[in-house]
Amino acid sequence: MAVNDRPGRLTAAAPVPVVVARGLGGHRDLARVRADPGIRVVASPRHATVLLVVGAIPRDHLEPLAVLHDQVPAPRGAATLGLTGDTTALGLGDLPALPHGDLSAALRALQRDVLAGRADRTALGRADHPVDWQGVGPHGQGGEGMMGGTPYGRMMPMPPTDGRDGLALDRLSLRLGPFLPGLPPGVALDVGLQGDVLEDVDLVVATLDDAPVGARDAATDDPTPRSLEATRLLVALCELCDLAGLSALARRVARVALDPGPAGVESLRRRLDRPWALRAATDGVGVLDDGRDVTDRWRGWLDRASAELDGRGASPPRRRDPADVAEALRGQELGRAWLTLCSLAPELGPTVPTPASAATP
Amino acid sequence: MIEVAGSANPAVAAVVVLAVLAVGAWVVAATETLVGARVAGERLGPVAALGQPLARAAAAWRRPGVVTERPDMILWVIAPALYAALAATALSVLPLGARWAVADVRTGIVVFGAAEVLAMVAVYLHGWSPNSPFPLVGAYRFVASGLSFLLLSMFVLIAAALPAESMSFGRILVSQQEGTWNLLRQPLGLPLFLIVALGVSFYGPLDLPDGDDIAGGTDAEASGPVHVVWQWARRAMLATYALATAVVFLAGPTGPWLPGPVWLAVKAVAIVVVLVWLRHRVGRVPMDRFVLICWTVLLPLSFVHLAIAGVVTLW
Repeated sequence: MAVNDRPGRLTAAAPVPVVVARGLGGHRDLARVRADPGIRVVASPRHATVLLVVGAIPRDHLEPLAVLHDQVPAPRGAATLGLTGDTTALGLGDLPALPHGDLSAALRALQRDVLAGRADRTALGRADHPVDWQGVGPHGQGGEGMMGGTPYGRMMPMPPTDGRDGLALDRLSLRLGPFLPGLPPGVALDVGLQGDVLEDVDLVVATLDDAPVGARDAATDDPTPRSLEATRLLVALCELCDLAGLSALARRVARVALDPGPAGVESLRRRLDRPWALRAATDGVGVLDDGRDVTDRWRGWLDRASAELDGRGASPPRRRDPADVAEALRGQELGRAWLTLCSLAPELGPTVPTPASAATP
Repeated sequence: MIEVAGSANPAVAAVVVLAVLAVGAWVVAATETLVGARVAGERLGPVAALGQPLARAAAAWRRPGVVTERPDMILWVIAPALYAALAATALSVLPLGARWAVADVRTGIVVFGAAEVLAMVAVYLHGWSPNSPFPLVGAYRFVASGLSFLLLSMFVLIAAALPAESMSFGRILVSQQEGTWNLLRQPLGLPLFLIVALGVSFYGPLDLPDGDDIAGGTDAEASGPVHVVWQWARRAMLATYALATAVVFLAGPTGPWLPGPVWLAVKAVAIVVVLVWLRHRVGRVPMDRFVLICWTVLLPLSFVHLAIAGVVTLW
């Protein structure tokens, strides 16, 4: 026991590495996680100790959630934050709900139990082999020659249909998301990848025919809907900062998002709206048919957040057609495409009020 | 002249190099924590900032390694070690005291340059070995950006060798002690070399291969010791570049009153603070834009830099 506790004390000083499975809603909860210096939201589940489910998970995404769970190396912990109802419907077994008090203290306690072997969660087996090796074709993989096929349900690369800048790389077909950093909640991508260029893109938006697991009324999220809208936009900005590598500024943005005020928003504008700050990553990236780039969009979020907080009321965000976005992403480099998607978070994703019409292929 | 003290006893040399790399990476990580807390507007004392990287490393070290589907396990383990070994190689040719280096070989800048070019191999292997798409994309990115920024390093180091009339870092140091700091003689060199430092350690605005936009890039599938060594090695490389910058442009261990190694440490830490500040304030530059800027702006600028250095040396 004494042997176990010494490293335990040392690791207690470290922020808990957490991978967030972000569902719909839960903006204030996410801001709390992001703002806490005792929590480090990591980009890859491999770097995490704890899987944290924030926001309601659409039923389409329960399978990917199980895969994400298994991708956190064992011993692993898992918890929910702010979800309501029966969370066993998530398919991850019994999940502790984090309290509304000291988040990082609760996570640290969970991590301590996990590392001491008191609270491990067994793998669900979904990350291993989605389907069997298909014994067709000359090499048994189900393709032609040594190419193609879907052994274990994973698409093998195929020779490209046409080269990119004279350099022809094998085309890799992948499903990316829905729980990757920067992706709008409820959205996954089917891509044909040539090196780091998206040869082909399809946005797969979750259907909400059945209510997502853990959903709750948006009004209980925050008593004042006005500041909730500001929080929503600032959380999107926080995610964008983090995606652009500005993790410390992202924590600052998250703190403003928790308690949004006009002064806070202006201070963020001063820090971010410089050619050598966030704009180094976003200027000229992701120009869509309206001629606006990622910088214009996050400036718009700050403008709208200020307007909401001043009580001026801003025009509601427009909704984007996923097919148009997919068209704009075709031929883009992966990093640019990802920033573009992140900057469209408030305009994409399944729409909650009219579930039936939100279903998009 | 510089004494080649390390070669007398390789064991001493190895201990010195490993200690400098370990402490250097720790200083980088602690500065990162401290500056990060300031940028985020959080209160964090220097003692806590020094402790946090150790705690993080200890926690991550105890995590199990991950086995992906059909990885190249041997290369996956070798890649972080290779990258760290390259940082050690680069460090070994730098003078660490006023008259002391581990191995002040006459071809110092060639050894240093070879280490930074081979870093491309180490990063590529780290991205290739897990057999996973995002790490491989990260590996592509490092090769593409490396081809663009590594030429800058050579021109900057050759320019520094001109007044020294030698390719040894020891002679470059002595030439500054006899003349003036290269910072004044070759003003373009320092910013160009810092860009190379950020590029080779893929840090801050040039963290293209391990960016969050590809879920951690080459390191996305790594966990446990491989992950810890990789993150440590990157920061050790950054520390090595900070030391090299201090030697080449700020006359390294030269200064009044204090011993040489202390002056070198002070100057290197100042450079680390600048690099870490950039990491927390400047967003990741898009891949294609960085490559374009390298070839169309920075490379011509490094030619100009070399020409200026040549004219100043002759004059």
